[in-house]
Amino acid sequence: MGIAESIFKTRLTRRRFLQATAATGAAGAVGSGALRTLQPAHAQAQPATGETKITKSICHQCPARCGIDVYTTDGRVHAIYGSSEHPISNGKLCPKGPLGAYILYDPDRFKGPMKRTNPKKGRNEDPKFVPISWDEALNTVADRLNALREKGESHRFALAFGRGWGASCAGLLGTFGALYGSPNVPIGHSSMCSDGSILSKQCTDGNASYSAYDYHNTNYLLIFGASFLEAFRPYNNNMQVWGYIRGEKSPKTRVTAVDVHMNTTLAASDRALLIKPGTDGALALAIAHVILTEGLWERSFVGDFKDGVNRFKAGQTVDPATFDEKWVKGLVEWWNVELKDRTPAWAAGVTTLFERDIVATAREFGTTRPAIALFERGAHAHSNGIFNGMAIHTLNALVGSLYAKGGLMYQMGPAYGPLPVKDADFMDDYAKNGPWKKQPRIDLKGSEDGYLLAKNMLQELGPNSLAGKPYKLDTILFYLTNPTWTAPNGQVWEQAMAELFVIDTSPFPGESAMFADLILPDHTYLERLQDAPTYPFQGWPLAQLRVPAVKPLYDTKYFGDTLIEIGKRIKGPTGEYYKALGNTENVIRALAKGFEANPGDNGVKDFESWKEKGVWYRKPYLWQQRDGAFYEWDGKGYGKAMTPEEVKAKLLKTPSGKFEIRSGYLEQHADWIAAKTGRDKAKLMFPQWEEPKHPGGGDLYMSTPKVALHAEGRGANLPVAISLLQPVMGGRDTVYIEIHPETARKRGIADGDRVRVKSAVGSIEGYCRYFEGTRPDTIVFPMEHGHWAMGRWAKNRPPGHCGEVTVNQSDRVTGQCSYYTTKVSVEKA
Amino acid sequence: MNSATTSRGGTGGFLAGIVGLVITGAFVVWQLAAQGHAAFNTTSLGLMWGLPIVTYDFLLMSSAGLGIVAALGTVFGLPAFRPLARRAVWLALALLVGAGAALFFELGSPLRALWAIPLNFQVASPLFWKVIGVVVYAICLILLASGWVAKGADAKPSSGVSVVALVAAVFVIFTGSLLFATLSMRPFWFSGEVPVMFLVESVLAGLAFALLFTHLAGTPDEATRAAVSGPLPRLVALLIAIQLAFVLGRMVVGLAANLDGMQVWQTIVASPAFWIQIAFLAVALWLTSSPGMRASGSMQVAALLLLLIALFLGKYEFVIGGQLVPLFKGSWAHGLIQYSPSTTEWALLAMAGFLAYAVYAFGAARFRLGGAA
Amino acid sequence: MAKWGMVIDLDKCTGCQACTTACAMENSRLPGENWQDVLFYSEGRFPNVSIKWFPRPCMHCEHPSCVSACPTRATYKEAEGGFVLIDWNKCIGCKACMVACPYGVRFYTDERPVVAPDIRGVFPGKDGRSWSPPYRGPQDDPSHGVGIQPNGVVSKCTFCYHKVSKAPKGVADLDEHDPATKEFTPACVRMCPPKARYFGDLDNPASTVNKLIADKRGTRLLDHTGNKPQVYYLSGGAAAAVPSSRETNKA
Repeated sequence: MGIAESIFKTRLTRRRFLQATAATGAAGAVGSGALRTLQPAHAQAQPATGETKITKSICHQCPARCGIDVYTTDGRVHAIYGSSEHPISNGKLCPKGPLGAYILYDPDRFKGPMKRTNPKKGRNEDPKFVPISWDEALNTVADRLNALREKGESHRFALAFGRGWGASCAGLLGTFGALYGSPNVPIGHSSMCSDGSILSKQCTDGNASYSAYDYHNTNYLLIFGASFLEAFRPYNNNMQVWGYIRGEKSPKTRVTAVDVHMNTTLAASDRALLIKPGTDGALALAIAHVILTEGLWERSFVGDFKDGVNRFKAGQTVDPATFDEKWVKGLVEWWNVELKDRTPAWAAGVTTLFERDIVATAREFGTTRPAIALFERGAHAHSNGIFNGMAIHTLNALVGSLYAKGGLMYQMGPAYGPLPVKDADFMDDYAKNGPWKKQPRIDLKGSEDGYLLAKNMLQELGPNSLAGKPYKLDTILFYLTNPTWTAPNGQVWEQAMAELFVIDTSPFPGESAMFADLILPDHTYLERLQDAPTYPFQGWPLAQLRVPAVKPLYDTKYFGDTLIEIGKRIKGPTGEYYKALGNTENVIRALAKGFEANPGDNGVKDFESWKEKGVWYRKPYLWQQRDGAFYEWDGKGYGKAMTPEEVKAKLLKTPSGKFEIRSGYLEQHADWIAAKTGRDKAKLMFPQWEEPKHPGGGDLYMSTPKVALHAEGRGANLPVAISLLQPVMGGRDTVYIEIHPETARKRGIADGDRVRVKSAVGSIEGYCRYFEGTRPDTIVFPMEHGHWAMGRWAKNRPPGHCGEVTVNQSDRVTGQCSYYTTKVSVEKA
Repeated sequence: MNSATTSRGGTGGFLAGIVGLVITGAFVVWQLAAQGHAAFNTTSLGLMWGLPIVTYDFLLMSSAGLGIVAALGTVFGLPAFRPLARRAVWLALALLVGAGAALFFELGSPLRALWAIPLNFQVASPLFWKVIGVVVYAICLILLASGWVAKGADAKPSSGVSVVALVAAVFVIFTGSLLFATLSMRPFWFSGEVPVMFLVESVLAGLAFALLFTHLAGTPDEATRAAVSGPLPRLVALLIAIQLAFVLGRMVVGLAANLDGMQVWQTIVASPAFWIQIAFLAVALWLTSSPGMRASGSMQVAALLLLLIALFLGKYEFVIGGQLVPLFKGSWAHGLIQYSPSTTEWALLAMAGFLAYAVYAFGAARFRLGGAA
Repeated sequence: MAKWGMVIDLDKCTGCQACTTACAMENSRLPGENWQDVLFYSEGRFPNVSIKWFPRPCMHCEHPSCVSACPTRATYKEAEGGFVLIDWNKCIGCKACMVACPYGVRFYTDERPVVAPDIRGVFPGKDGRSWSPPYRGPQDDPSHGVGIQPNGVVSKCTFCYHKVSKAPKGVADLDEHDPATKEFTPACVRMCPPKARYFGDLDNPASTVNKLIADKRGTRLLDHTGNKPQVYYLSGGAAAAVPSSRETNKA
């Protein structure tokens, strides 16, 4: 028998075999079947047919507001680059910038307005949303609000917002609250953000604001927390600055960075200080102590001893009469009541840092001008946050950096035109004198029973409504915020939301949306026409515009227009106001009118040119402090000397018109603060060391920082972001809980083990990684995963959400939610 | 012609092979159709070549080794090898088919490979030359099988084809070793001894396969009986000793070397598979070198089975070991790469084995594979 | 003829991964398929610990070991520009180039998704491509490994061939800040916020990349393997440096 014959007899021909496998491959075409390649598919080049269009917009992944060029071909967005002509982005973007198209085309988006049909609410309850028309949706909201108003219960409507952008969205909210009549419209999220920093500045230099920084000209950066190279706004520009000050500038700017674990900021700095959580204030006090004892303070700004002889000696009081204070108030008193004992040796004991590192940092900071001490959440997200913040910010005063070249200042607002309609003309009697006027805010912000000095207390809204203290809400509307998940101990929010009529306006599913009765989905940002003045940047005013790159993909509506449409349906003059206002494009056109008198440096002078360029800005910043004297821009330079009164009105807005180490603002409320905190009334107005209170009942601190790929509100459902989220630990499809090897071994936990993190309020699980860069008394993992809604990629991705083990505790003075202060226990799961 | 030679392991074996082939093949095809190569545990993180490539390489190198074994009888006329020559040629063909099948399911675009490799003349690539060698070798085997093995007891092998087959077999082994041996960034492989090691390994595997199936075929004639209980086991023993020297030598060098990439040896030495390999080689060495054991057919079968398992383990350790150190993956790869074959990969190994066995059994059933060349 | 090269200043790199996401966006990469990656390493004991990171595109070697591993000329060195590219119409998916690349820059299409569920199932491919997201770039040139790859092939960084190959002839540098060259600059270079990346013609003595390599002593990764990358790294700027040579042994 020949071989060919033998083979044919078996009938297993190669040809038939291939046909069979090819057919199977086609049948199972769901996967990326390798066998499909058996079909000879020669990939042909398919050149695009349409022109590529570039639209100006601004990024949405953090507050920085970088100008972007959106590339659209054949109606599809396929690329996003930084706008070369935009002063923040300068053609660049951070790693989040390119994620925009994934957000636009997120397959989990809401496709139009919907209502809930399942009355039961809970984590495991499917809302059973059904599509409805916009008219039905808006009428439902308006009917509810009108009914509340008729009952005199309009205060039971709250509108909570997160990342508001400009006058055409968040800017409309205050008017709505005033016309409709609710103290709870709006409630911002700033207390869950970084109000600790804002209050620290308000208490010391009188500006209730984040700072603007002149990094390009600084020679020293002392960074507390803030994650400068991961998350600090404007992240993109910070990195541009970093490349310059660290790679090109002469002299190279030196950097010391302070945090509770090793991150890229600390790694890229000259000195990393791995400090005990909540003790940043102690370090700042010790640095101030060294600056004073070694005579390193900036005499032109701070002042000096009358005879020029330094009397600051550790442990010894100084006679205030011997010192002439110039732009600061209360320096010598501070020394006497607090600072004289805050030696580096003392601080080493509190912070666990080495004394030699504290002294070296203080000497560098005190001798390098200009220098900036910068801090953000982390340093002040503790019960002693106000003191930590004030102590750090006082370092800026000691080295004369306020309003100095290479120092820090405050942001100017844009030259917006007024709205076309005046809200004052549409106030009815209810709006002016309705019963809502006597109601406190639901979050007890500004109330003696709550948080008298805070700016917002969103984290209290859920618990307060649930407890009925001060009352129960009826209806709540969310704009760009998801506190059901982001609030500390959000489990309480879930109970609170189950009682309320909830309206969510997010384009995406989320935990708050899962409790919603109505979904009024917003456009995603690449579909919006939306204005946005800059966050604090370099001081001079700047306002950007989002221009739609594509028509809305689905039946969605820009939130500003949703609000106006609801307003039109409110009975009485309120409805008339919104009818007169029309829509958000009218608002934006009115804003742009302001540019006619103040054309931008790039020629933007009206709505059309704003749309074309995407940004209006006008340099320079108008003020500068030089050698202890303040000057105003005179058209050519900082030549016009300012009087102390002008300085007080425009720059140092404190009762004394000086930088107040002895805070007049705190002093005014000393009785209330002393009553609520037990602090010494004679001393509570000075930056001082106070042991932080760590709730939770565990033995390890827990820090949950924001990371570079945290695309605000959406990173958890973007596969590219998920895959890059935690590069230091190598978290590719999960986020690892960083734990020090010794800490883990003591608990019988091996590298990579699944662990349980517990506190008094809850317990979560996730996988751990040994990391020598994390303090042995602390665990660290980025706040990102643990969603139970939010989309197919986000859902149930470990580890569990840190908020579920974070105790809801806030700084009583600043209202700052103390996210990083809970102590937890960790065990093998 | 000894009819018993064709009956044992013949038709029944063929059917068994086909049944196994259909079951495993169906599973592999189903998995690959549904998931593509996601059904494999290989990843771009660093373990690119997994069990299917180990299977392919083992079968191909063994096939080439069988070609050399056959040529020792047909080309060099060494008497001890002549009784094995026909079986070796057919086995070589069977293993080559198995190797091809494993590769077919491993490649991303196997059909494209059929024309893209020969037509693009990438003369700088060892793989190009290897494929040329395999094609020539396969043609020679087919010619030998159809013109000699299938032609009955009186047929003589073409000496020209036999010589070309021998050269092609050595060439395949040599070029097959080159891709590993030339990669300077992978010190586990980058070594001058690798081609020689491949040659020893392949001849040993070829000899083991030929002897094993000769034993399994049963009731050999006198010449065969003399060969399989005398000089050939002694040669096997010698080659095992050399192979052991390679394995242990590489281990000692690997453990002693400072070079980044050689730390893999610590992982290998810590794995049971490595010591099973050593133990099996040692036992096989004892069984083949002890005159008493050589006389026992069953002991020889046991020795050869242990030897082939050890050689497969060695191939696995070599192919996988060279990839365990991730090259420039940073923290994305935590420590050395962790790899264990997926069910589909195991099924592919079984499928290739069944296919090769079915082809062998087909020949065993129809042709006279025993007896002198 | 230009010989394109990249210079990465490690003193400026902040490890932010904008290069990676820019590449993923421009080249429609799968999650985790980081043609342009940033690799992180850490060492030391608390409290003195270091994190190091290393941005890593394809090195587009002058003597690429992948090219001589490929049996089909699917991986090849483009004479004009010196790109190392993959012809997806010739690639058989044998992965020999992946094994032979010292720098770990290559990716095989058919693998388990890094992030489940598989996004390729959400946006299934058509016309023989492995997937088809709505945000895919308009460029499509399979014979240069540009666009979305078919199943069963290997892919890698192209130095943004679809942009760079269209650059005006004779330019010394492709600088994202120069309006004339911005659109021809590779995505990672264009996006890099601290401007740690430079791209230009290594054969043009006047190019910025050559100036930087000379002034800041650019070095190449794993010089001893003989691959001779066209990507240079700057670190420290001190004359004391790890020895390496721009000379190529195999001329």
